[in-house]
Amino acid sequence: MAPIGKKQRPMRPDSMRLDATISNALAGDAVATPATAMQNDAFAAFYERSARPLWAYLARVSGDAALADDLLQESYMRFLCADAELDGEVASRKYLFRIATNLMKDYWRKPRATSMDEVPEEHFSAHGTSAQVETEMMLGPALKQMRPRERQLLWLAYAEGYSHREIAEVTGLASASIRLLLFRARRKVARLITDRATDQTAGRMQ
Amino acid sequence: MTIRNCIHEKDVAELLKRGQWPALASAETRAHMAECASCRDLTSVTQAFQRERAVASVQARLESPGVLWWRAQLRKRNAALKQVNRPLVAAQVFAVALGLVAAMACVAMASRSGAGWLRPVAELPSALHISAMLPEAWQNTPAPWLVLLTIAALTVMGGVFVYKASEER
Repeated sequence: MAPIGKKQRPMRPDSMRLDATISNALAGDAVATPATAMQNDAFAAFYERSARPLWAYLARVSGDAALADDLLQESYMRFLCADAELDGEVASRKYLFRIATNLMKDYWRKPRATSMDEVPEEHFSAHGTSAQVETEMMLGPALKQMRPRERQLLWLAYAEGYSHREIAEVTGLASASIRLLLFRARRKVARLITDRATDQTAGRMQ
Repeated sequence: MTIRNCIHEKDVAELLKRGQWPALASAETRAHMAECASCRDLTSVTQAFQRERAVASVQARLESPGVLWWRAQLRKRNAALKQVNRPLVAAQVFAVALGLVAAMACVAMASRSGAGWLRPVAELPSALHISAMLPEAWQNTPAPWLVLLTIAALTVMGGVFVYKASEER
């Protein structure tokens, strides 16, 4: 991976990159050159900035913190192994979210005991700081009633602030479909949040 | 379903994205908010998701980037070695196939010239007194040396399979 946020040098032919990798591998020294050490630093800085938002996305969309841990690691591994030519941090982030989205999709596609729409409920139980309790009381139950695809689109649009075009790049859906899907999902979640707030107000008055 | 976009929605979304709502909103936009259900939805949803993002980000338990980096390098290295080994495996398969064809050709040629060439091979077990090494129960079997040969072949092949499996892992 080239340093993030800097103009990248042109990629060498695959055979040359392979030669370098093999010679390093045979020497038992995978990453010992000064160039790769610099890349390692650049990656560490990028990781510091991007890992928490990515984990939040994975955890809230999948509803499973342990799964989010695994998918986060696998996303970065694939990101590093891909050697893709990315122009700047924004593109790198989008690429990372795309990898994570595809991993989540693959995870849901695999046949298992739970279906795609079943989400562990313990995640939404209220424990922790007051801010956490407040958001989970409002958004947690609402998210629980949304489909994974809706949660995904809502998170990318309103938590990450991505445009329709960017969401299309991340999810692989058509930009026109995203507009409609997001419109419906937002109306649904807004209604759920409002209903929840109304119920809480009524509960307090009683 | 008809999607009706409010003309103020873009401005409200931009302010929310920057975290400047309602502080930097104009009086007109704020007044509009009271009348527009779409903008109210946008505000409540965006604020809820932003709060959720902040809370979830704190909960993340992250691994060291250095560890991830090294693991990625190892994965790359293994992939590169696998790519290098691919022609070698193909050459091995080709060599085995060629050997089998050659052996079959030899057998075919020998069978044409009669079974006389097999006699020294058939007499080899009795010349070496292999039956003396076998347990008593096997002494009455028609070809005890064949059993021994099969066991030896299975042991060698088993060893090769175990080695291959451990290498693959």
